[in-house]
Amino acid sequence: MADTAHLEAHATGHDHAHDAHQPTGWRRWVYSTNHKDIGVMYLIFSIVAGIVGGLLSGVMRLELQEPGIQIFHGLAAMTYGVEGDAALDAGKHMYNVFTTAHALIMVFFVVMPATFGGFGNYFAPLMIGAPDTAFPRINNIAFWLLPPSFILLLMSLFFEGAGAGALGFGGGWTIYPRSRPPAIQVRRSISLSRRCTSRVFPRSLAPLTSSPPSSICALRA
Amino acid sequence: MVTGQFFKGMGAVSAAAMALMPALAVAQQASEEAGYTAGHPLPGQFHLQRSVTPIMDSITAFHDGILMWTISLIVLFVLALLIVIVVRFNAKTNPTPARFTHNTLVEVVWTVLPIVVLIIIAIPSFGVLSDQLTTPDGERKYLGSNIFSFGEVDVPAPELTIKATGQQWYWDYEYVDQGLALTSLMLQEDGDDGRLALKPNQPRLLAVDNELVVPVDTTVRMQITADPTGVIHAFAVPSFGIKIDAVPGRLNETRFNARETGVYYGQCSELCGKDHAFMPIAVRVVTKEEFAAFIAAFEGGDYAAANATLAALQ
Ligand code: HEM
Ligand SMILES: [Cu+2]
Repeated sequence: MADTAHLEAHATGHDHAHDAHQPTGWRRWVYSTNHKDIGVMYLIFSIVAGIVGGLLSGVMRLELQEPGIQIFHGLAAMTYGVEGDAALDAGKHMYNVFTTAHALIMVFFVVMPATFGGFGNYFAPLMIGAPDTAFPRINNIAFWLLPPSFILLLMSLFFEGAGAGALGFGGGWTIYPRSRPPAIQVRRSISLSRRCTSRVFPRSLAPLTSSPPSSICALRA
Repeated sequence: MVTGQFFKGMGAVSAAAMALMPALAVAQQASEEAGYTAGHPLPGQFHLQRSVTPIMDSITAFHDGILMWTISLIVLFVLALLIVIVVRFNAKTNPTPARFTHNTLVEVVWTVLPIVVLIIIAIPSFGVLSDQLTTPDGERKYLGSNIFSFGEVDVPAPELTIKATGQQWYWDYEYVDQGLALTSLMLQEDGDDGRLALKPNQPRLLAVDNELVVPVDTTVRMQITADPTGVIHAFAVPSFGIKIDAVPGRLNETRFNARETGVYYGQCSELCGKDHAFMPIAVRVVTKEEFAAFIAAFEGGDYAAANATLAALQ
C-alpha cells in the first residue's frame, strides 16, 4: 500500500496533498480517471447487462423446455395483437430476436466489459506497478460510451426488423445482414444493433454503419 | 424405453471416453453398430454422427485423435499447475513470496511450446481442409481416416451434379445434367390442414416429403446457392462431412461420395429467419441400379412416380 502511494506520488509529481482535489459524489464516478473506479463501474455495468441478458435467456429456456412452440406465439399475440398462424410466425421471429439480443448482450456487454474493462482496469496497472492507465480520460469516455450503446441495442428490439410489422433483428449475433430480402433497405433495428457494437469497437466496425450491405458481406466473407 | 435410452446414453459416454483411448476403439465400433446406424442424431447421443464418406472419416479421425488428445493433455497439465500453486504457494506454506519479475527461460518455453502444439495440429488440419476444397479428378488420393498420411483413399471424379437452392424456408434440388427438379418440404407432425405427416419411424423436424436421391459409391458434385431474392442459408449433412453456405447470387461447390445406402439428414446451418429450424435436408442414398431406375422414371413422369420405384421407407 505504502509502495503504491509512493509510486503514485512519484509518477504524478504530486505529493499526498493530491487527495484534496479528488472529486466526490457523482463527479467522482462520472468524471473518473481512476482505473479502480472505472473498473468497478465496468463490473457494475456488466452485472446489470447480465441480468437483462439472463432474463432473455430465461424466456428462451422456457420456450425450449419442451418440443414444439410453447410461449413465443403467446408473447407475439400480446405484442402484435395477431392470432393463429400469424402469431406463430411472429413468435418464431421473436425467438430469433431474443437469441440475437441475448448473445450480443452476453458477449459485448457482460463478458467483455467484465474481463477487460473490469478486471483489466482494476488489476493490470497494479500488476505492472503503473500509477494508472496510460490515457485515463480515454478510459473514462470508453466506459461512458457503453451505456448509450447498450440502450441502442435494447431500442433495436422495438424497431421494425425483418418484414412488415415484425420488430427487432433476428439474424443472430453475427449480424449477418442478409437474413431478410436485399430489396428491403437496411432496417433500423439492424443498424441500431450494429451501431451499438460499433461503440464497443469504434475503429474496426465504424465503416459498417455507413456503407451499403454489400461491403459488409465482403468484410464477413 | 427409458432403460434403452439410458444404455444408449451410457454407450455415448463410453464413446466419448473411447475417443480418448484409441486402443479401445474396437469396443467403440461395436457400440456404434448397435446404436448409431441411423443417419440422424439419437436421443442421448454423444460424439459426431456416423461417417459414410472419406471427408467425414478424416474429420472424425481429426476430432477423436489429435484434437481430443491435445485438449485433454493441456487440461490435465493446467490442472496440475493449478494444484501445485494451490498446495505449494499459498500464504501458509509459502509466507515470503518470491520477488523476481522475469524469467527468460519460462517465457521462451511458454511461447515456443504453444507454437509447436499449433503446428502439430495445423498439419493434418490443412490436409483435411485441402481435401474438402479439392474436387476429385480420379487421380488425387484423399486422406480418409489416416489424416497423417499423404493420402491413400481413391475418390472417383464426379459423375452426377446436383444444385441445391435454399429458399425461404425449404430446399429446391435440381439434377443439373438431367434437367430434373424437385422441391423438398419438411413433414409435419400432425398433418392436419392438408400438410403431409410423418410416418411413425421418421425423425421429427428432419424427415421431408421428397428426399434428394443419389447413388451409392458415386462422387456427387453439389452446387449450392440461395434464391436470388432471398437470404443466406447453409447446406449441411453431418454424416457426409459437408457444410457450405448457400448465398444468393453465388454458386458454392462441394461434393460427397457415400459408401452406404440409407437416409442421411442435415439441417440449414445459417440462421435465415423464422423457419430456419424447419427446412431440413434429407439425402437418400440408393444402389446404382435403383438410382438408374429412379432417374428413368423421373424423366418419364414426376417425382412421385420415380419415388415409387424405390422401396418404401418404413
Ligand atoms: C444464464 C445462462 C445462459 C442461458 C440459459 C443461455 C441460453 C441460451 C440459449 C437457449 C441460446 C439459444 C439457442 C438457440 O436456440 O440457438 C443461447 C445462445 C447464445 N448464447 Fe447463451 N445462455 C446463457 C449465457 C450466455 C453467456 C454468458 C454467453 C456469452 C458470454 C452466451 C452467449 C450466447 C451466444 C453467443 C449464443 C448464440 C446466439 C446466436 O445464435 O446468434 N450465453 N444461449
Ligand atoms: Cu435456411
